[in-house]
Amino acid sequence: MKSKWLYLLLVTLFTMTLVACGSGNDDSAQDNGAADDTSEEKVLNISSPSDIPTLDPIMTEDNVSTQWIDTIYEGLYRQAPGGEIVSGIAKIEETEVSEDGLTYTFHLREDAKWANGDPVTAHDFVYGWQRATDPANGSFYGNYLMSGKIKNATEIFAGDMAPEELGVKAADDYTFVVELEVPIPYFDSYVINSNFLPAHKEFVEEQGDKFSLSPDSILSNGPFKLTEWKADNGWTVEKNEDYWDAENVALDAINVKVIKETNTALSNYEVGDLDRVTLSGSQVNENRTNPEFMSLTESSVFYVKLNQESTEKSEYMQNVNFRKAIAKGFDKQAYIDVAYGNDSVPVDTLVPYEFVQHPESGEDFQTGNEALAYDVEAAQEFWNKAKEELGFEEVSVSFLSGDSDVAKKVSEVMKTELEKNLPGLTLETVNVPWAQQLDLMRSGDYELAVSGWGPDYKDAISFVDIFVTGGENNDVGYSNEEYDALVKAAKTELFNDPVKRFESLQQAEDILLEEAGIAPIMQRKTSVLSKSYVKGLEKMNPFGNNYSFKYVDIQK
Amino acid sequence: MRKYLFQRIIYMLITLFIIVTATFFLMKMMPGSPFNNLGGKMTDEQRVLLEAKYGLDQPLPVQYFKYMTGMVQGDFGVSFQYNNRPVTDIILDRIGPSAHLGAQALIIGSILGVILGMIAAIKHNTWIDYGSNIIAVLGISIPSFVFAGLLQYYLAVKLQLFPVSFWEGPIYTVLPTIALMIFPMAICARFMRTEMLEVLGSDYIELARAKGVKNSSIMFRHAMRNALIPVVTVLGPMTVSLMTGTLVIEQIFAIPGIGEQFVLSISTSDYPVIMGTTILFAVLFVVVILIVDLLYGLIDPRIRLQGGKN
Amino acid sequence: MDKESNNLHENKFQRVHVKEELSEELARPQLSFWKDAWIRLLKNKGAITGLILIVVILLLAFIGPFLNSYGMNDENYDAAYLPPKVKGLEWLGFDGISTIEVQGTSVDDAITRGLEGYEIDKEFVLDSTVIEEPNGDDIEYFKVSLDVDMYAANGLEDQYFWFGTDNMGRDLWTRIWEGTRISLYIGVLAAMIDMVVGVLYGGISGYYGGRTDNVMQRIIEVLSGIPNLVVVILMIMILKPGLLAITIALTITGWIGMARIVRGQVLKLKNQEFVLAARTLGANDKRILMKHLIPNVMSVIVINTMFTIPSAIFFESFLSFIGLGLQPPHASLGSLIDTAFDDYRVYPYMLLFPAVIISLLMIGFNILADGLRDALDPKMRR
Repeated sequence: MKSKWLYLLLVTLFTMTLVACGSGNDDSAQDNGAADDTSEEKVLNISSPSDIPTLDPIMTEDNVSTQWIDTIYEGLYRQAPGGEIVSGIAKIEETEVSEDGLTYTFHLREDAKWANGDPVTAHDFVYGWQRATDPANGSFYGNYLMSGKIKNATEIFAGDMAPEELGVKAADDYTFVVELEVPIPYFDSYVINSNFLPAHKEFVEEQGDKFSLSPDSILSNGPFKLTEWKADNGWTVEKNEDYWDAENVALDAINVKVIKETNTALSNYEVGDLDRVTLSGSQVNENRTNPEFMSLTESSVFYVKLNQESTEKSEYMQNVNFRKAIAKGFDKQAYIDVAYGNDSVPVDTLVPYEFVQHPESGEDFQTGNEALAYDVEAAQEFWNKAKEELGFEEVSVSFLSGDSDVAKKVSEVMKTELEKNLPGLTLETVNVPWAQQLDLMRSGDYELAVSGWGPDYKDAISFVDIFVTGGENNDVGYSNEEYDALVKAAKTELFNDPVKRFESLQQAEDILLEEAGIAPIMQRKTSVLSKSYVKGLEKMNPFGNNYSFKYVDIQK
Repeated sequence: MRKYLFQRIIYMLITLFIIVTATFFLMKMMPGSPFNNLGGKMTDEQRVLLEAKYGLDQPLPVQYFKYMTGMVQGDFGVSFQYNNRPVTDIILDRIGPSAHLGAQALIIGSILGVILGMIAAIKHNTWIDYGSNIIAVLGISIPSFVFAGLLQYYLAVKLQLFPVSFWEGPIYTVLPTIALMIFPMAICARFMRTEMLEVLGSDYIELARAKGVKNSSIMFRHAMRNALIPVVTVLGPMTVSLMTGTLVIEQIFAIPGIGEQFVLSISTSDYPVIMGTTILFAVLFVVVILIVDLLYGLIDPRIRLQGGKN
Repeated sequence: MDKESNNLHENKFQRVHVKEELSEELARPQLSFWKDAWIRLLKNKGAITGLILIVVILLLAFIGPFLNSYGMNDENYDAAYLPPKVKGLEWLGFDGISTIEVQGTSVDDAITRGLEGYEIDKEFVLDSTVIEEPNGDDIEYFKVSLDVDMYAANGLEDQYFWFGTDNMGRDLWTRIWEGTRISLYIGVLAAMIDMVVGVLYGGISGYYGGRTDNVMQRIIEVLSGIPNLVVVILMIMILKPGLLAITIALTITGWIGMARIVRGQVLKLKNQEFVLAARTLGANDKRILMKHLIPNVMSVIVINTMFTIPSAIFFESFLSFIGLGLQPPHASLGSLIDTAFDDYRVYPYMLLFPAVIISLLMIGFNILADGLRDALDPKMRR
């Protein structure tokens, strides 16, 4: 009896350990490629903040998926570093556009191959695009980007037409024709999205539900192919020797590790496990003097939503002086210093800097309207006017933000800034998870909220279109006829007049700012440490996939 | 005994049924839908379309019935956040590392804790006692993520004795195990010490001593055994919570575990994954509780669970 | 042997009981259980130390914020991330001097980069040491550490932030003591819930056993089986985040660990002789449970409470983390530690002070608890 129970206990515990170790070893069977690049192989070791949610091109909704789908697939065109659109499977210089801007004819190169040796043909594009519009597949971005743009897409998504009726066809094996419903002057950058990728019909149908779930169920046609993918742990892509432009792909492989904790990623970089790491919070200051430090401009802009449809305080929020006082009443630099601590740039405008350029002069779209610049005195003037017009002395408005560390710091800095600069204002900070934030936004139960917008294609309209009356993403109730007219013109009759179109979008943005439809805060920058031998990652792409690994090199 | 076991298993199934049902309906009451994590770009119509595709537009009882029938047949559905990946795959992929680490931390932590507690009790009111007490107190008052961070920074980055993170082999488990085992160790040490002190002062130990029983035999055969009840009680549920992963430790050491997957699936309203993981955790929990109850009887034959009070 | 001494004379003896009626009188004053415990507690030096420690922290939590002129939310961006500085304690490291490490291709380059990056004037650099030089292998750059008088560099020579400042230049001394107060409230609350709900639930379940036990334990299993986070998120919908929400969240599941422990102990004790004796003497269930069983379980109750308190304090910071807890700019020890952890490599003092206070508090509680255990344990009553 003495040792019976002890024995039992030990046996149970050890069996548990053995079972657990057994499964643990399965996961760790593969050698770690990181840190020991003994051969001449050019291997890039980086980290990712999350696992890849999906590698099915039509299901992607996030940065990580978009990035790696771009790395293993190739569509009509692709982005070179810095956002230049270059030839992919289609030869960009041979693409024909009809007079009315509604028909695009793409000429495909004949040497492009799938990893199984089959040629990439126009039929693959037809299938890929039809697949994206098939409502049964439930592609969000397919619907978002194609409805109202590609012929018949709206009807197909509504289930009124079959996907086969989509306005795309293969004139021959290497000629792909697209019919649009409205002209899209920025169609070149539009088709970069992964919903416009080709798909190998036979392979996709053979894989069925398993498509894209593991390296074996993916057929790439891009510069790299996925060779290993361990859940929540990491993945490896290796150079695809069958890629038509393989000779211009410098890297042999990229190892990616999933690291969610930023301090851990930095530690890994410091001991040499990683070649590049993204910094956050105080890490930026700590490493600012490091010669390997870089700050990269993003085209994401952050602003405060000023909800004019607020359920409780709409009369305040609809007062233009009230809105202007808030928009001018907080120190944007302090906001960046406290919440991000990096080199993000305070902005007073909506469309980001270094995003689109004047079609002729090449000047930046963003000329820096200062109507909403930080200015305490001006803010207080507007504030007093608002007080007079509305007849209040004290008011409390809610400020909605997320539950992340950054979001909490945002709440704190906004509360202190606005309450300090606008006497009589109380900011009720609400920090809730994203899902609940969306619910509150939908029900209009808030006055102020932080929001950010990243473009899906390279055109100012991606931003300006948000605030048209009744726009599907305009949830702050902003409405101005002149603004609507300018945006509408840019979307329709001005497609053939790029200069005028450009200018009318600039005017529209000015109207929005003069009326304080939003309160712009900053254009985000990403700070990284990158080993000096990594070349080709010095800029972020302005939209879509952040980096183009096809052009990255390691020069030790 | 057999009858008792049989009865308990029936109860277990009922408990599980209640847990699954309650979780299902509570989860559906949570705000948000799995299809709105898109920076606000998705329109309501699109969401409705997607919800129809996954049957989320049907009345709750229908969804519930469908889920339960599927579950009984071993079909736990597919994930939303990992586009159509089967829930079973997601869980199986991630439970390994979590269970491995948890088991390692639990075994080492509890054994060290029990030893520490016994020594402290035997050397009552000496510096060993105070020392082990302070270790235990620090172990519970400093959160494990702080421990983990400091261990990682000093042992892995500064001294480079261990790898910083990742899940590649035994050496990679050292730091996370240490960080994880502090809490079970502290708890075992504290309970063991108090219970031992109590037991050592009791009559039957004095009787054993008087009869000339060897000291080591008194310690292990009589004292330790009687002191184990609270230790076993706390270790039971702790086994489950350790083996099912801990969010922060997994994040700090970049371990592909289930703990943070669970949190992620809740924050993204990934219903099938939430349900699958809940069921797994609940099964483990009720089984562990049963084992603990059975162990009571083994440790102290005077404890009888079957009958009511005398 | 002296024979004389064996001759016991009657008058050498005295009657003890002078009077019959006095024979029933007790020699010592009768003490209630709690009074007796209190006296024994006061005799225990360790317990008194613990008590003093707790009282000091408690006092500071209430008067600490008023000991300097900074308010809880007085932000000053020029004073962000200042290290601790105390007049008279400079020799202890409270000197307001930060050591920053800078890198560059040469020593001068590193220093220039550092001064530019941190926007510091050269005159405030008190000392510089070269830590690393390129060795042609894994080290590529010079690394220099600079001792900078951060207060002077920011033009704040006359300020004294005793525990330093945070990212918004708020005084950490004030914030930490305000936070301590909230954490103490949560700790005490958790302990109370444990003591009342947990002990009673566990006691009843274990004592009655059988079907009662079965049902009560299944309820515990259900409560533990439903994911906590789901329940907590649902509560965010109903409640405004804040102390009330925290209190309810704690109440739902906080007592389960205690209930199981007490049940385990009661199961062990209820068949022992003293319970049998009490029952034979006619004690009812309530009396047996409250007067005989629970006092005997007191030691594990006290120990378990010691685990509940820090767990509750960190549970609160977890709630804050998901938006159910305190809303910014309020802080608790837990949330201060959470925030500081992200920056511990650069600003270790932000983590150090709250961690030390929480540890001291817990050490105080534990020493006191050990004293209490000795004082409350009926077997030790000699």
